[in-house]
Amino acid sequence: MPPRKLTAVVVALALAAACSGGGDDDEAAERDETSSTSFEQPTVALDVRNAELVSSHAARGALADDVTSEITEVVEQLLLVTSAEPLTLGHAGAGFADLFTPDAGARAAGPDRAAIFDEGLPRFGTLEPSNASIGITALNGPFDGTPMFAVVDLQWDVGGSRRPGDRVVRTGELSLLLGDDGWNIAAYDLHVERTVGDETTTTTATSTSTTEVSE
Amino acid sequence: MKRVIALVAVLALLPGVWFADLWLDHASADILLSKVKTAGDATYDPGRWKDTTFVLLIGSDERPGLEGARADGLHVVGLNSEQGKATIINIPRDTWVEIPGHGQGRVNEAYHFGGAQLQAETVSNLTGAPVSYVLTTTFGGLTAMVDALGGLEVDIPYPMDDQNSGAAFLPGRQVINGSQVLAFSRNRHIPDGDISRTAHQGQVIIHALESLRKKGTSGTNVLGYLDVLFRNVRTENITPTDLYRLGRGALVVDPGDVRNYTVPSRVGMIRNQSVVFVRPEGTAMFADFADDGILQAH
Repeated sequence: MPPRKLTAVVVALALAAACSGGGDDDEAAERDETSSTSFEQPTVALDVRNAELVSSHAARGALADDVTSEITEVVEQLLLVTSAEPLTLGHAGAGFADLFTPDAGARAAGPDRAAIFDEGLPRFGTLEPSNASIGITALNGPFDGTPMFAVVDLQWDVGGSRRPGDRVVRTGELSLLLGDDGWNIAAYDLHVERTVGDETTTTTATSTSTTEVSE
Repeated sequence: MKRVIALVAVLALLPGVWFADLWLDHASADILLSKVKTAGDATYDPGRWKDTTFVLLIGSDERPGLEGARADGLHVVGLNSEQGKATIINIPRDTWVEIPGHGQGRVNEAYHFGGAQLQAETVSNLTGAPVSYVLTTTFGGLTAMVDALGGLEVDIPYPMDDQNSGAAFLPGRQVINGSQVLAFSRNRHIPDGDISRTAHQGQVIIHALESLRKKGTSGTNVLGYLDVLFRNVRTENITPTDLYRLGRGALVVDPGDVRNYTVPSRVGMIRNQSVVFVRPEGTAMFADFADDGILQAH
């Protein structure tokens, strides 16, 4: 079965009445930070570039649609709560811990939080992604051809209507395991560049280390 | 084929169930990767080595027309995933040791008596390092491995012209093909004979790691290597995720963080046989290695 293809990268995010009046971008962003404007809940939809299964039981082939969807939804939810919601609503979303295995979740929410969450940035307004896509390569388990493990190659490159010069570019890999409650992120190797105004901050995080460099 | 060899070489550098080997008919008989019972199971404490994996790499002299294959090269590799470091301990094949159930003998005779499992037990008893995985390759497998990598850049320490092994080299760094790497690795007509030869084999492993890291180290890369591995390498008692972890673990190690160390030895005689004895300082070296897979004090 072919991998799911979405015709467009969509980060549907509506800002109600946010565009009234002129002024420069900084002023608009300033108003966003302080106004009581209500924002529509953002959603994230990723383009699936490829979805394949590597198996000890059969030749490499397409990953089943239902598995592709399950994995994609986990990554979409991750980007929603860690990036889309912070960049638009100003705070991280809920349900973060459910996406990870306990160990990985503790690390992601703790020592690696700076890389995982796009927090502390000005609100971007409506997100305008130039690339929001994943490639999935899954691996079968020990007993049969059922996928039990997957590596997701992530490309997440977004700007915003309110701050056209600013960007968040997140690239790297997520490793997911199939558990009793579905797919969970068990490890990650991420590289994040956040450009706000003239400053670009680069943050990298793996399951074992985090480094941050400002340029 | 190149990608599978790449992964195999990675696994060889460092460090189940029993998934049905539906691809076994396609797999090469030249390369076998197996998970073995950890030697000394009665006292084995997995928690003690949770960040360390020990892999035994065996170069077998098995080939058509030769009866009683033996381990021609023996290397136990400690991979410490927490520290991202590794150590290769090269064991001269004539090292005189206790072989469980068979009395004393040359270390490589264990392979003849009991295959990879007994060879792993013998090496584990000698070093104190609990070997979990064994990769066995024949001469043909090694040659194919190197050729698939496009050759290896090897530093030849001195001139070689040996008809037995076919080693004919000028000194210096040079890219050599699979047959040449095999000849270089087998040449024992050099200063310190078998002891230097085993060190050269360890150096080849490090050069292979350098080449592999240039080809890609991501998780997606590793899964791509596994795809081909499943059809070209026989595996025993190893799950796909075991293989993935081994591959990733190996690829994170910088070749500059790999120690290549040959067991301190001296040549001697037992019943008119030339053998190699481990020097007394070997005991401390083994203890240093076995605790976390890394040599700190040597």
